[in-house]
Amino acid sequence: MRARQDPDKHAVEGTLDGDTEMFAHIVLRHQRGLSGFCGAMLCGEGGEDAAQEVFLKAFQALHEFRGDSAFSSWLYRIAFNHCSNLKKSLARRRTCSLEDLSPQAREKAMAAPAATPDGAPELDALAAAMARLPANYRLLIALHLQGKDYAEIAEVAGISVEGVRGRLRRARLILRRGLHRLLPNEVIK
Amino acid sequence: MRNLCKDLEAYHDGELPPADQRHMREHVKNCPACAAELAELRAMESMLTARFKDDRDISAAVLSRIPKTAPQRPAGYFWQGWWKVPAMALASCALTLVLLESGLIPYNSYMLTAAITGQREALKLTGFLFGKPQVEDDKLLALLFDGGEK
Repeated sequence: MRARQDPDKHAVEGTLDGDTEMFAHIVLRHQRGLSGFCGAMLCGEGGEDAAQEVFLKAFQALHEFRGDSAFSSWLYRIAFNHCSNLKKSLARRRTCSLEDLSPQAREKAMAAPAATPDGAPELDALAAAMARLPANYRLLIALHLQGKDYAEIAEVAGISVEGVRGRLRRARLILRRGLHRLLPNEVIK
Repeated sequence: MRNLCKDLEAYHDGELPPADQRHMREHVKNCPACAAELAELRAMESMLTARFKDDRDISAAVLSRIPKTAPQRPAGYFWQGWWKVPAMALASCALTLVLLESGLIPYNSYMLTAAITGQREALKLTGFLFGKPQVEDDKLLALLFDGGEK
C-alpha cells in the first residue's frame, strides 16, 4: 500500500487546472532520472531525446492519469513503452536498410563487427551487456539504477515485489556474465 | 539457522527490515563468500550507474515544446458511473429490510387484515345466502393484532 503522499500530485492538478508552468516542477524533478532510465533502456543511445519525448507524451496524456499509482510510476511506464517502441522501430529500420543495399555493400556490411541482438551497432561493453538483457529484465535494472525500490519497480513493471526480487537476481546474473572481464580483479570471486 | 546468504541482494538493495539489515551486516563480515559477492555486485552497479547517469538539464528544451494550453480534463463518460446503479439498488433493498424489520412499514399486518376482512365478507355472504353458520374469525384477528392478550 502507498501510504506516502505523491509529491507530484500538486503539480499535476495545477497543470490540469490550466497552469502549464506547473509542469516545469515535474520536468525538473524527473528529468535526470528519466534521461538515465531511457539511456539504460536504449543501451546508451539517445536517452536524452527519448526523455524529452516522454515528457511531451506525459503532458498530452496528463488527463488520463487517474492517480491509482504514483505519478512517477505512470511516467516511467510511458518511458518504458516509448523506449520499447523506439528500439523495435530502430531494429526494423536497420534490417530494412540492409535489404536495400547492393549485394557488394551487403557483403561488406555483413563482414563488419557483430551487432548486438537488438541490431544496434557495436556498443561499449556496458551498453552491450544491457542490450543482451531481455527488455523486461532491462526495465528492472534501469529502474534500480535510478534508485527505485522494489515496491516502485513492481508498480511500474506490473508484477509483485517477489517477482521483482527474482527477476532482478536473474538479470544480474546475465549482466555479471557479460561484465566479468570489466570488474576489478580484487572483486572477482 | 536461517541461511542469510540468500538475502544478500536484498541487503545490497536495502530491502531488508532494519533488524535483518543489521544481522546481514554482521554476517557479511564473517562470510568470505558473501563479502566477495557483495563487492562484485557493488562494483558492477557502480559501473552501470556511472555509465547511464545523465545529468544534463533538458528542462528548457522540454518546456519550449510544451503547448501553452493545458491538457483538457475528461468530461466523464456515461459508463464511468455504472457502479452507482447496483449500489443504489443494494442500498434501497437494505433500507427496505431495515424498515420492515423495525416494524415502521406495517406490510404484513395490512396484508393480513385485507385478506382476513375479505374472507369474512365472503363468509357473511355465504351465511346470508345459504344459511350456514358464520365462521368466527374475530378471535383470530384479535390474536394477530393484540398478541393473543384478548
